[in-house]
Amino acid sequence: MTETNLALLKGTVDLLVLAALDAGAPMHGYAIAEWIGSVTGGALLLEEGTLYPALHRMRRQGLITSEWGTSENNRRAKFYSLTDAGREKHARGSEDWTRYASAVSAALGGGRTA
Amino acid sequence: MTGDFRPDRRLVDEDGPEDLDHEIRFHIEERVRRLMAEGWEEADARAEALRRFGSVDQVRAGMARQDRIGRWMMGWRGWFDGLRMDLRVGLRQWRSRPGPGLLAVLTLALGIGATTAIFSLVDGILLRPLPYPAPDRLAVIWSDWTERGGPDREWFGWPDLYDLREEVDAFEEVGIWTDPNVTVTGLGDASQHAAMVASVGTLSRVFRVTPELGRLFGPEDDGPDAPNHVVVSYAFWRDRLGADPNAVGRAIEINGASQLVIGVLPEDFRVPIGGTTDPAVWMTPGLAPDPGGRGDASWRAVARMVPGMTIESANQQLDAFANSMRERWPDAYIGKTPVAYDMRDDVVRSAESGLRLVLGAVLVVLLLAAVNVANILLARNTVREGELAVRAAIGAGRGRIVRQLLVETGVLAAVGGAAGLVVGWIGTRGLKALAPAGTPRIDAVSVDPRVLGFALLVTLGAALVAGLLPALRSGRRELRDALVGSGRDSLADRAGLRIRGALVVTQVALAVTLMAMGGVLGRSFSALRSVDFGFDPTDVATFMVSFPGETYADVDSRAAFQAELAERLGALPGVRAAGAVSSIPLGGFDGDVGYTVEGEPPPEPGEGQAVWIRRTVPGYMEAMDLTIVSGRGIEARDVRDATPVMVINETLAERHFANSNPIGRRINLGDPADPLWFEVVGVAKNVRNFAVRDDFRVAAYLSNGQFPGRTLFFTLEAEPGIEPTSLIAGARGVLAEMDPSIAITQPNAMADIVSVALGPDRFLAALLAGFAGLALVLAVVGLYGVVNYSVTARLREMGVRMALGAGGGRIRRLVVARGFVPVGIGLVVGLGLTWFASRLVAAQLYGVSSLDPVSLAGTTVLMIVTALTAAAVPAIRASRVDPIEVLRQE
Repeated sequence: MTETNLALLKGTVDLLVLAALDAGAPMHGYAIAEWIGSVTGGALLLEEGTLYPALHRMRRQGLITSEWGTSENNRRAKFYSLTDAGREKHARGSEDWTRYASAVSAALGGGRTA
Repeated sequence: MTGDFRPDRRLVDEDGPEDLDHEIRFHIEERVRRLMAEGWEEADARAEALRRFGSVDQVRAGMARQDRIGRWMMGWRGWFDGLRMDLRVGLRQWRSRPGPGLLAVLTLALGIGATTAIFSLVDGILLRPLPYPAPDRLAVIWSDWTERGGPDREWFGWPDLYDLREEVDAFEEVGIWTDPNVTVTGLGDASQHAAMVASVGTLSRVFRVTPELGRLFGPEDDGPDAPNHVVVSYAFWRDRLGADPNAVGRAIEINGASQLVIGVLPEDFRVPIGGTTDPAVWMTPGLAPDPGGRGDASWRAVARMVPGMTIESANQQLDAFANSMRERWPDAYIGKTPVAYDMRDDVVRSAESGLRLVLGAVLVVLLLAAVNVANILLARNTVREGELAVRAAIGAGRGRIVRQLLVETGVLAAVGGAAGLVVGWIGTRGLKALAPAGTPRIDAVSVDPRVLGFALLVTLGAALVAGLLPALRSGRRELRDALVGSGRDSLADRAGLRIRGALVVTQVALAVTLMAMGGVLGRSFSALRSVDFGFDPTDVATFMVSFPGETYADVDSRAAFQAELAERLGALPGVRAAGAVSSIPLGGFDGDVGYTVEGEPPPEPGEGQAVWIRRTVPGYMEAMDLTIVSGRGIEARDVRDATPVMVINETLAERHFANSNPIGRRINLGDPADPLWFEVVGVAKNVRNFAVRDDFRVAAYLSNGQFPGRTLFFTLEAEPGIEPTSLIAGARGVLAEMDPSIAITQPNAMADIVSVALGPDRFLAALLAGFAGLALVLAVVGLYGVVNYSVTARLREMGVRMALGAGGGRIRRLVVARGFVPVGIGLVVGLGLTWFASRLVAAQLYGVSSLDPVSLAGTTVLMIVTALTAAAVPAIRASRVDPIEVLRQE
């Protein structure tokens, strides 16, 4: 990990979890952490433990469901998958995020030249 | 039903803490495996995996917090589910036996509604401040003439304005005004309007009005050389000037003279006192400070006191002022003292005592309603004590049961409160519509949220206390008692009955008091209505005509015009008799003058005697059926160049000619030093000219042909079968033919004028009668509830009695007798209360004593008869009990 890693913005973990699970098959916590690390190229500093309260909360909100299953190396693990509500939330959340991000970058870029 | 209790999977963590541990362990092991695959040493890999994971304790704490939130939410959700169920049960309860619920709702609606309506009326009229800036510094100044045998509230002369302003420090500004009618021409048809001729500072410095458009009068408008400026009312501007935004600067013609509009008043501005609350045009008098007229009484005075001044100190200054005036002009001011009153007090004076009485009555009704609701709920919930005890025994907490009862009572209270709001709103509008003409500040009356809140609080508070009583008792009560004793004459039932018996006593007592008050006011009103007014309003129409300006300045031609007008009106088809008088009974403007009788020594200064004068055009006495007791009435021959004549009333005749014949005697209406003699030609029967309950004052009729007035009320008596007001159209035609520049105002049926004069008494009697009726109904409902409940509670006793041979009649007598005990007590207490309350109504009464035996006896009989009827219904039910059935139910 280097100094350039960014701390995660509040609420971003939920969005990343939804993105990970929207890819398709049910995933366990470790796989979700791995997926986030790989797709962001390690640019985001995720304290992996914080995933679990987030997963817990999202399950209560009905965005995801969980089920005990067996991992690829035959060990017992809890697998998470998206509900319909979760899928919808992901779609809306991504859109909001993109709009937000482009607005912020526009403001930062434009603010200097103007 | 089991489905209802299935825990929500999302809310409860189905995994235990060991499952979480497993999940964390799995995560770390996987990470270690991955790192070792990348070539890490195992110990380093494990350290790195733990570092990347972060604090395991924090993760655990985070999860636990999530669970706590979940459990808390589930708790509330459960509570709300329970509440919904209570609500459903409560509604079902009320629906299954709608009688008590409907009664309670009706009682709440009437109690809350009546209280709100009456309080709103009282608040709007009596309590709210006047709608002007710094209203507590506004005063009305009257001239008290009681020392010289005159009224206590007289008006002033024009020069008094300047003296009051100069010599009394208490006032920042004094305004005086007089309110004539004016004719406006040049804006379509000629129209007559109420006008206000007021001193310059009246609007701007006393009332502190801000004009809607333009400006108010300023110093340049004062004095005899003032320009012709007018300020117009909002209504006049809107209706006659077409809401012209450029109205300021326009000229209008008033009484034939051109006047420049300089300002428009705001829409909501009203004059608080006097007959004209919204005059169309305001003018300044254009008079010099002392043009004569000292001792005159044709100007009404108002004032704004300086800051910090009290009415008491102002009156001390006015006393000193009066003394100095008496020294300077003894003739004009002896026996007169100016007195200041707080403006609001003075404005509401006429309505005050009646409204206070009504307020008291409605508070009694509110109390009755609260008692009634308590009674109904108490009865209903006592019956349910058994059910509640069972619920407590199978594990329902006290809180649950209280909540259940609260919800049930709350449903009732909400419906009753909403209905009360509606009744209050309708009632307030109804009262405004029914309020007698001339009720001060009736425009300002609206439903007051504070008042509504108060009424809701009282009645709903009573509902809640009564609704919760069984819950509070259920804690003290053993299940066995409640189950075995239910429907029996247990000790708890006896306590309940005692409470409810006391409630019935209260209700009956209050109802009896109100009924007695209502009865005596009703009798007083009927006495007033059958009073002999001294004239017969039947078939008579009346209207007013003013004869303004230069056109009618000449006395001779004015008298001739007025006589001709009356004559031509009398010739109209359908008119039986037509005449005119300077002031119509019960609705005109009156004036009095000092007099001396020939042959009697003139009265001492300060003991002046005055006679109220009416000028008449022949035909007036015929149209109004006035009775001439001796001599003759005013006739057509009493013209300007004939001897001045006078027809005196009986009071005057008795005062001066008790032992002699007044006909042919002479009375002077001028200065004793320069007498103006009138020959008495007749004596007329006394007429109630001033008010329906006034004493007959010293009064006389003069001939309008000799002393023609500027304003006359014409009276037309219709042929039988003809609607009198239908004659007015013809009268308009006659007037338009003779002079199109003057108009008819105040067209009325004389019968309506009498009815309006009786209005305040009718209103008060009707309200009190209404409340008395309401009180009777509420008391009877309460009584019925108690007797009915006691019958239910004692069915077994009745059954046993009948099994032992008691007949139905005996049972009926027993029930009625028991039910009648609280009624008897209540009746006695109520008659006692009436004795106190009767003092409050004494001032409102006419022709009956405040402890009128007829009203008291009527009240007593009515109460007893209705109470017996209310008790008889459950008694009959009790006597039809089948003993076998009742005993088998055990």
